[in-house]
Amino acid sequence: MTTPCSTTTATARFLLIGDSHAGPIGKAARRQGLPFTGGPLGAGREFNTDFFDGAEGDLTFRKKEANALFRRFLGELGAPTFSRITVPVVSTVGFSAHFPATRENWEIYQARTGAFEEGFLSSRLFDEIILAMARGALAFYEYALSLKLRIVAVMPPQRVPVLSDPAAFMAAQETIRRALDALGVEIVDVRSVAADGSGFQHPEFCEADDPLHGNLAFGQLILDELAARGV
Amino acid sequence: MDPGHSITPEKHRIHDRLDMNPYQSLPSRSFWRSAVAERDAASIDDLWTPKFPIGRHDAIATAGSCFARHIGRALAGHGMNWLDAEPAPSDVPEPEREKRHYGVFSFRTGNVYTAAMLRQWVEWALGVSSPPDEVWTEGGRFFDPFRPAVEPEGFGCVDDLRHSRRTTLRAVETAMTTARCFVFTLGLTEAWSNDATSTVYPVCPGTIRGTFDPAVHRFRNFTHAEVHDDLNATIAMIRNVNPGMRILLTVSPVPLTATATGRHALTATTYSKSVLRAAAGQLAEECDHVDYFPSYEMITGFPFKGMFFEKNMRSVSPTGVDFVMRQFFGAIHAQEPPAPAPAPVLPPPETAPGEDFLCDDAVLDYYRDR
Repeated sequence: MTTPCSTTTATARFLLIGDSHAGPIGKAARRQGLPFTGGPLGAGREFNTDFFDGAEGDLTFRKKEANALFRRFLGELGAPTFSRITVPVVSTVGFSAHFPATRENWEIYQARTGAFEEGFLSSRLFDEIILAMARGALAFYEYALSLKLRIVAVMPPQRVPVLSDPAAFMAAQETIRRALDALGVEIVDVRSVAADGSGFQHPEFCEADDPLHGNLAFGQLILDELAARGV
Repeated sequence: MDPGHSITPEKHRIHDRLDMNPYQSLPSRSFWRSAVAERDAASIDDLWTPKFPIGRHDAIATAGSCFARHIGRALAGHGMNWLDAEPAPSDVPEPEREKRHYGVFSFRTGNVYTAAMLRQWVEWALGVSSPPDEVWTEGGRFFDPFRPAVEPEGFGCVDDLRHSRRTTLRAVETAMTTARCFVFTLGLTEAWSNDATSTVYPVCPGTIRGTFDPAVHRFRNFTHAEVHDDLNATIAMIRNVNPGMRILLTVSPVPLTATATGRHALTATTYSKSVLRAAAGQLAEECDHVDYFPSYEMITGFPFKGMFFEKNMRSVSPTGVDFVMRQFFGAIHAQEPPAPAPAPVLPPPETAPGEDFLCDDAVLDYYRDR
């Protein structure tokens, strides 16, 4: 997409980038009047591939529109390259777990009942499949860390659209979370508040008329957690 | 003109507002004339709008009264993922399978007529309580009091009976923990219980098998509150082990074979079905994960003039079953996204199928809001 984007703020608290789940965070920050720059760079599926090239302290998104937004955000921060960013990077990249959890991906691993074989979702095979799909996202975080940037990954709303498998979604986000944790990425996880007893998103944190995204209240929860971490 | 009846500008505005009432924007299905009176009975449709999607690949478990057996069969025949959690062993000959209740429901509980009986099976399967030791004997054979019809010839010994019941309980557990949707057909409010063991039987002891003992066996005619409570507790147990499970309740249109209330069989049937219909409807109103499918209305509704019953005015004819299942599949397929046309091999699309278009919308929406 080619659209006007973020507002320059000399005192931005953070750079927000990621998939559509970054939207509620940015909207909540706007409503709160919080200085920041950034927003979603594309849909989640666009980060389930090799989506960027990094060299000499800078980063280029392969999708033209995403890269244009990213360059604009850097400009607003007065950073000529990615490595020159001085504020924390808040990212939802890689956590669109509903995409790898698409039902058709997993049918060959399921019994006729639709259930996975016991232990499959915690198996090395499952991890390797998910990590292969998330390889671009993991490389992105690894690259940011190599540039000594503070990067904070935000876990997604606990919402599983009908074309995705709930069990695969839960296991996939856990696999990604563990991989990021192993890399040393800070992770914002508000599930203990945003999810109900069943583990799925509490209705009060769901965007209305939308089976996938969080709402402003969910964005605010994440902002509160970021603030608690000094972001 | 009577000056008292003149329309002032203010009254005119009120008149305009009165002209706009909530019924004016309702669809034709909401009006008796267009939905029923002006139609041939067989063309009455749009009776059900599913509350949640039921996908072709979603595992669906079924159980309930005798009418429920049509549902599992129709689901499987329609290419949907009907869950048979207790398939027949290979050494059971094909002709014997249905007689021994294989492939009838998702597990071999036999008919589960009452909400209390469903609660009991789910409690046993999930380890909340245990079945009593009671076993019925007759002619040197052993019969399970809680499913006396599933092995018409009985078991050779008590161990075989218990082993078989454990297999069924494991199947119930599998179905409740793995299915995406459980279709339960409520049949009766009347049942017989055992005061000593506080258990409910599917049939009165002494009818199919067993011996009736008036000192122990007690007649029950469950109230609306009891049926609601039993269903509510059962659904809570199931959702506790399977939070994504959705429940589709139906009420069997098949009248009571007999009533033990002393009332006329017709009024007893009306009581029983009214209670079940009200309890199912209330749960569907109360819970997002519970829906009611109106098979009862589709068969017994008076616009159909009893045409879907056989001569005994009790058994539902194959035409009636087809009518119900056509409505069922029509409604759930109406909710599915249109089937994609066969696609040639192309480079990766800019937009992904399914809900992922929502991600694009959300991204655009973010920048539109600025």
